[in-house]
Amino acid sequence: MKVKIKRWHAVATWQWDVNDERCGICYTAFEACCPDCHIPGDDCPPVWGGCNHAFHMHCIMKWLNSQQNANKQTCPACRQKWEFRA
Amino acid sequence: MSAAASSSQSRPAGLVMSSRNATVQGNNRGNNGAAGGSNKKMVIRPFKVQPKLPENFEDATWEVLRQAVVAVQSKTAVAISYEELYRAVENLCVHKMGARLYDRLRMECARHVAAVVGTLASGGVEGFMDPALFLAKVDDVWQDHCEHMLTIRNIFLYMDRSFVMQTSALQPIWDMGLTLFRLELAAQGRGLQRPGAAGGVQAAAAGAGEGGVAGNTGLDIKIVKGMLRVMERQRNGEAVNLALLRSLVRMLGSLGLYKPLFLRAFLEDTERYFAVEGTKKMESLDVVAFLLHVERRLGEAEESVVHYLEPGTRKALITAVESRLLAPHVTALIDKGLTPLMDAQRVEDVRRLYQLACRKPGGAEELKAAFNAYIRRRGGELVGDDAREKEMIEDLLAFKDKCDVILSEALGGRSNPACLAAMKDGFEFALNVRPSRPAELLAKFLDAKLKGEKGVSEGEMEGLLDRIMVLFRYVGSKDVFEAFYKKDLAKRLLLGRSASADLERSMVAKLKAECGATFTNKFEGMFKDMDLSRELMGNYAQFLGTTAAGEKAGGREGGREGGREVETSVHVLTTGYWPAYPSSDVVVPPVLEPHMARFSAYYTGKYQGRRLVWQHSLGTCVIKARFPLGTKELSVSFFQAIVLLCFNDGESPRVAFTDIKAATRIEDGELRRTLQSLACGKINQRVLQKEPKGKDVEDNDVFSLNAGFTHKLYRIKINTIQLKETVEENDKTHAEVHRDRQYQIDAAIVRIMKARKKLSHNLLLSELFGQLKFSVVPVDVKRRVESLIERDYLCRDDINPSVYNYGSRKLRILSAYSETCKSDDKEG
Repeated sequence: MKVKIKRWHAVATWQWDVNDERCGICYTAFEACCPDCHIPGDDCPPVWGGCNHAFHMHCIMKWLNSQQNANKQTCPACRQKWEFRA
Repeated sequence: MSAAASSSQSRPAGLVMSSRNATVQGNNRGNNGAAGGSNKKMVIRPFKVQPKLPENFEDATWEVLRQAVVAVQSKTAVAISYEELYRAVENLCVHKMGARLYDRLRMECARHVAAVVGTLASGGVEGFMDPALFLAKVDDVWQDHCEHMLTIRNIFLYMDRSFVMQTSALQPIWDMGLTLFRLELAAQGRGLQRPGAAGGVQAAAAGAGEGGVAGNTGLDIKIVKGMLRVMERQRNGEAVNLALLRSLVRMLGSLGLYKPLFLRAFLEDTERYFAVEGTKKMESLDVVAFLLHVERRLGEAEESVVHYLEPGTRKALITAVESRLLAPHVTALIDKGLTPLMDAQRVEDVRRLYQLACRKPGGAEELKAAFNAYIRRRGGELVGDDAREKEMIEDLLAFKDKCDVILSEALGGRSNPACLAAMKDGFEFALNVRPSRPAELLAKFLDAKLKGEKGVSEGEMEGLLDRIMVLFRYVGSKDVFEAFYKKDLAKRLLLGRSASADLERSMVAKLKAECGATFTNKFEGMFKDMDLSRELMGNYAQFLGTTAAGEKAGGREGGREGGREVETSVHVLTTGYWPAYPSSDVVVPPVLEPHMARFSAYYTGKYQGRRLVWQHSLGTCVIKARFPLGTKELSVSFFQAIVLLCFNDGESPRVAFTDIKAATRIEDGELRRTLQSLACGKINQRVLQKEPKGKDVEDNDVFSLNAGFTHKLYRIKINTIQLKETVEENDKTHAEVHRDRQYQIDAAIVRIMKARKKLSHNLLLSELFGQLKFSVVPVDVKRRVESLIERDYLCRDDINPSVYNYGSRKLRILSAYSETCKSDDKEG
């Protein structure tokens, strides 16, 4: 008796590849969206800083725009200089 | 000359003979003169003596006329021609004898009328003579009277037109006749009854007792009573002479007695009759028969107006019938009749009931309420019936159709918004008799339908979906529906079970139209994921093609392996859209590992910042198995596949349950179900054998391949138990819904408290019920309030613990403290 797999229909879900479960600014899950959005997914993605902290893109943009000194934008979690990770 | 002649002829027509002779003489004379050649002038001279009427001219003429009148009244031939009579009247009038003539005529007529009417009174003693015969006699007399008066008026036309018209105090002859007749009817009855029979004496005494209302016992009253008796006979179903009635009604009308005398008595009589009849018939007839009866009575009333009553009576008569025969019983009719009629779907009868009920003021309201109550009750029974849950939706659809038909055919349909609203309210109530079950069953029903049924066209399915949507509209717990629909939709999409993608999309579109985009965006996201996955697989196949070619060109070993490749396709799902699946940490067979890794790498390369989580519980496989009795292709779930792979070594290996568990690391319950599906399923689908035999999988069981496995088909689908709706899964879905609701309650409480600042528990509850779309259990609310207090959203009032304040106590104390500090500063 020999059993061989011929065809495989797999199912996978994708999640944001983040260390934290939720955004440190708005405290909602990355799988959900920031408070300003209604539909989670590609329209409300997380972004990573150079320090490897991740936030909702909309949330961190709000934070960065609110900082007076445009040259000294910092990560709200660790106060390192904020740089978007490629 | 001719002028003279014409002037002489242009005298008034009523001249007496002698004066005419005079003119003729003059004429002759003139002619003679002309013939004799003499030139004499024609002279007209007045009479030397004023012409005189004969002595007894007036009396003689009247005698002639009187004889004629008597002849007319006694229906004998009139001796003298009407023309002469007419002329006689003319002469009398011209000689200003009209007043006397009128008086004499009136006397004559009065005498006659008295005589004729007298015969009626003496002949027709009330209660002893058949009213029909009596009335016929009355009618005869009346007809004669009319005829006579007509002839007499024609004879006396000149007087009527000239003298009577100029004298305003006098009535025209015709009216005079009527007045005489009327007075005589009233007077005669009274006059002759006193010496009448014993019954008459009593009636007279009663009449006298009433004093001024002497007409009570008059002949006119008798006539009216007789007519009422005849009409009653007609109502009782006897054939009566309608022409007679009509004629008498006309008579009363002409005599001016219709309104004052007849109408009130008639209406009172009608009301009395129908009040009695209504009560009697309600006892003896069933609802339908009663309705038919009422309808017939109303028809008869209408007809009687057409046939003999005056048209103006119609409204009053119909009202009388409605108010006595129908109105007191409408409530009882609706109570007794609506339910059985609705049950039996008797559209006609329901319509009759409705139309009749509408005739009573407020009756339509009552019927509406009863209709509503009926739907609530019957619908509630359907929904509340545990034993027939499977058929519940079908039954509800049928019931809805039934009610629709009744509404549109019997209750006026769209033009009756009140009933429409009543139906809506009824169904809303019925479908929410049980909090969430109908929503769940509705979702499952849809699932079954969307998986496809044989012999149902897409058009029919569309219709069915529309009907289901109507029910859906009434369901309160739409979140439960959403959860179950989502779960089922996910299964249909992932397992390719859906009968038609168009129908799926059209269903979602309907839901969107009903509940808005937020409700369906997850469903739409699922469709989008499916489309994206298809696209992705296309790209992935291209990618594989190029790498395989590259490997071949490089002359690596992989080329030979490629022939034995497993065809791989992956659905990649967005986490938020799909139901949450339990993560399973199973051992992926080594054959599949490179495929998994390759796809993961491809995917994460394509989409930055994403991570793939494999959902093995949703995977499926097609495997080729070589059984001793032939090779078969089995379509199985991923778990089934990896279990079967355990049996790959050796000729006929026996593997213990615990070993399989260790090898695959499938979760215990899941593994049991999987093994059960392979070893204890349908007889012809048992790929494995279990020892000892039995329905359930125990820890000590040992499995081996079924060497004798055979099947008439080459490709076999092994049913899975895991994919069926399990109780566990069901509970989980409910739990999810429940959890989501907790957040909604939290949000609603905070919203309310933020607006109100301070609220007692009961008021908060009532506000909550207004805000939340699903039904809330007070216990839940209490729990949420506790939790919110813990998290400092609310705090209990210091004085009254059943009152809540918005905001934390700490903050309030702080702010109060700072207030006092400020005021202290001021004082200091």
